Amino acid sequence: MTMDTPPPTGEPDDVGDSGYTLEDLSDYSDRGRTPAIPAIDDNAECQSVLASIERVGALSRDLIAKDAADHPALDESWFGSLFAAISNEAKAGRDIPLSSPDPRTRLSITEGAVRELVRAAGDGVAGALVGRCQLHGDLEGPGSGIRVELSISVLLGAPVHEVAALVRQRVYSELLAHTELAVESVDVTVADVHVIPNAKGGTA
Amino acid sequence: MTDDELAILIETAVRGVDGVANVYSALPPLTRSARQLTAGTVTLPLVALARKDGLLAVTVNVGVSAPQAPATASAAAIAVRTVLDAAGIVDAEVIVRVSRVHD
Repeated sequence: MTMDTPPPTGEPDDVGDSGYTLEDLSDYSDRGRTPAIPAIDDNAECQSVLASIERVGALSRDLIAKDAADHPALDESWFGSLFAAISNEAKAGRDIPLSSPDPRTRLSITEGAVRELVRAAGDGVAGALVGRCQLHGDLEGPGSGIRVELSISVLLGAPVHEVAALVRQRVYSELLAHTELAVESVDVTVADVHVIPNAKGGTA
Repeated sequence: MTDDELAILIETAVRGVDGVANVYSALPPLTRSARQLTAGTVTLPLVALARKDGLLAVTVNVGVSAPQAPATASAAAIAVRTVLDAAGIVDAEVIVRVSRVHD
């Protein structure tokens, strides 16, 4: 889709009701986000998906370019489902209240922003790649306890327990800093292991 | 002052708040697309203004990069309120939604 083409509306798989699909966003990212498309640039959900695409993009391109047989843990279909999960999680969802001293003012953080926060925190741990992220509980009730569930893939050879513990710790501290949610638990499941091809064609 | 002019003033003020990394459209995408068709090449404001029973509601969607999203959202709301006060609008609802927390 180009700037000259008006975005189709009401597509079931578009991102943030922008009229642009995950594939369109991926193409936009590949083009270096040029020419600029305001409907994407001004849409928080599209930007969230783009940020995730770009965070894992280099890794996915490397892996897909290699023989999938060398990389049984993370193949193209794995990335397909990863990006589908990212697209789904980027939906703004519910407004999670933040306290305000002024009764005429309502402050909130979106569910989508929190899921992106969790994903970015997990991806930021060396050797971890977040596959799926879910928030359970009453997000809209002040002080209600919530549970965070995420699955990760761990780099082959990395200390699995340590990576999972670091992910749990980072996610918890990010939620503490940016939300007023009462986080009861952060449950991390290691669902895959992966390898990263190095520049010489081997694996790291 | 038109609503669009007020919205642009608010957007500028919010962008100037420490920790606000971006402002995103607060209008539903379909509404925004429809308005853009009539506005032509004029860039529409990202801040949404609505009136219900004579009361103005201002909605701003922000991306934040500061260490704490709640403090930044609160500062953004104060910036909105400052613009409204200067425009003589004292009785308005201000809604600030954190839509993204930037890396």
